[in-house]
Amino acid sequence: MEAPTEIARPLRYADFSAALNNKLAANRTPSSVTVEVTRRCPLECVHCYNNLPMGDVEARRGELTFDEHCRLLDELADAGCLWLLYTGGEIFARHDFLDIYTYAKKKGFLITLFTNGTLITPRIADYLAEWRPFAIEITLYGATEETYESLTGIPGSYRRCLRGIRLLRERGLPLALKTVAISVNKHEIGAMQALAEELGVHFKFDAMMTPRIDCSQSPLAVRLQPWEIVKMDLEDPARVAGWKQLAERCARNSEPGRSDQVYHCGGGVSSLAVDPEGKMSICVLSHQDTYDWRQGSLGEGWKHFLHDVRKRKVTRITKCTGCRIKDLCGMCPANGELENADPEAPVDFLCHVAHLRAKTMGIAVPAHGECEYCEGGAAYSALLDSAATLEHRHGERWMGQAPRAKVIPIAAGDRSAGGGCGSCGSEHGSCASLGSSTLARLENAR
Amino acid sequence: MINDIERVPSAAASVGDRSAIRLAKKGEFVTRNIVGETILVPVRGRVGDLDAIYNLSEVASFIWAQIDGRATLRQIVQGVCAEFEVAPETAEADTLQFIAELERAGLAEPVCEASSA
Repeated sequence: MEAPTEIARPLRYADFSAALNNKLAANRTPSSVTVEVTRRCPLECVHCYNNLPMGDVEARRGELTFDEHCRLLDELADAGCLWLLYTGGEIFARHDFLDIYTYAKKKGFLITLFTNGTLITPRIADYLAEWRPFAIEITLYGATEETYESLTGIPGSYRRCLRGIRLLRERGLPLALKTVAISVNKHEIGAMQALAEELGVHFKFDAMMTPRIDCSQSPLAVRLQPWEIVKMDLEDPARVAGWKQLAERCARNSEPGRSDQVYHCGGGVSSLAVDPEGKMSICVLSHQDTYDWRQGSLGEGWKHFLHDVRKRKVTRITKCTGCRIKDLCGMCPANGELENADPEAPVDFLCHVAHLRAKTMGIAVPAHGECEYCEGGAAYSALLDSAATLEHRHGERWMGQAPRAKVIPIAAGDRSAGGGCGSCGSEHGSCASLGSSTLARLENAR
Repeated sequence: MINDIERVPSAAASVGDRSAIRLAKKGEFVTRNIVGETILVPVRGRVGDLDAIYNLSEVASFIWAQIDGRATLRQIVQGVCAEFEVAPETAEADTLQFIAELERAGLAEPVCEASSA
């Protein structure tokens, strides 16, 4: 007889997650699912990849109803989903969100909520204290009212966000703060981190922007320059050490060209995304291939459609194929899709960032085909210019002097959900990903 | 009814005289089965250790399923004997140990009905 005493003991979450993920790796299961309940949002952030106005009637009409969400949750539970991430738009823009959330809680999902916090009221906070989520992440757009609202475009939003943070903290809810580092708020990343430390919550940031999913390139106008992104890395020894470790692992383990599949992440293997209208895809950023859940079922979409998408073969060799520093950039098919309308096309910006990281951190870059950013390449002079700028501004401190909590996302308490990459901000999966999220993967693997 | 029950001393010391003790789960949990793993997920209220995940073996899952506020300890032990074909003393020892763990984690408690058998 198997002695039950061993397993009566609660497991530390990281141990549980690692053990279950090992089992899931051998059993293609949608264990992590991201559900966008709406794209409507009360904020008008300049960098956002998917937000729509609150009053967008067409968007509202197209959203899954409460009953449809319940049916979707039934199917997700049957399919083996454990980690569920609700995101938007702004999740609380839907008046029935707590009803959907409660139904999900009763199904036994570990639920993470992404919100901007501005619509959180005492009633919502009390409710969440009673029906406790697995994790809540609030995006803070600035440390000052002026910066925050220059990014969100909405007067009063800063104070509402801080109120939301306070309400959740007062109730001891599992809160983490995060931000996007863009040209508008780059000077306040350190101050935001200090604020998080003051509040006793974890903090992370990501500087990698993508175009909007409606093809608009507008978010790129506020994207940081490659040297600015790398400067933030260089100011933090922990981030530098993390990138170096990732690079070493990549160089040690990877066999260039070993895979002939377009996708290398957990999308379609352990995760999927569902958009507000019920379209299933590999992740929230990838929309070239979607399956209409309303016209079928989760099982059909997972077993056949997303299986086929995930198994898709590459059509050509690119400079990314044999790249040994690919973990430094976060390039994925969704990036190629959004920036180049081609999942296989390398993203120039990401390549620039990765090579600049390598150059400034002393990481070797073995030849990997015709690469503009390698020595002798057409853009190599631009890389040298970026490195020179970094050298010139070496004395500047953007990140503040305060001793820092871990800025690597997964270090924030080992709580995560979703597909495992920066597209949904979650890291327990295996998806190589954006900026700090890639570092998160390393932390998780330790 | 939850109002009709009251706490009694721990059931985990030995079955012996306590064979008639009934056990109830504390709080609201959902039992999930994912790739062969049985997982207890807290749903509502501050029950157990919310920062922990409870992962049960097959035997533990069986015992957990029997804890319904009605089954006595003796009945649970008998159920383990029958289901897993083990000696009564082994089943008793393991069941008691598991229940002790559940009590320590705040997931279950011994109860008795206040006014009825």
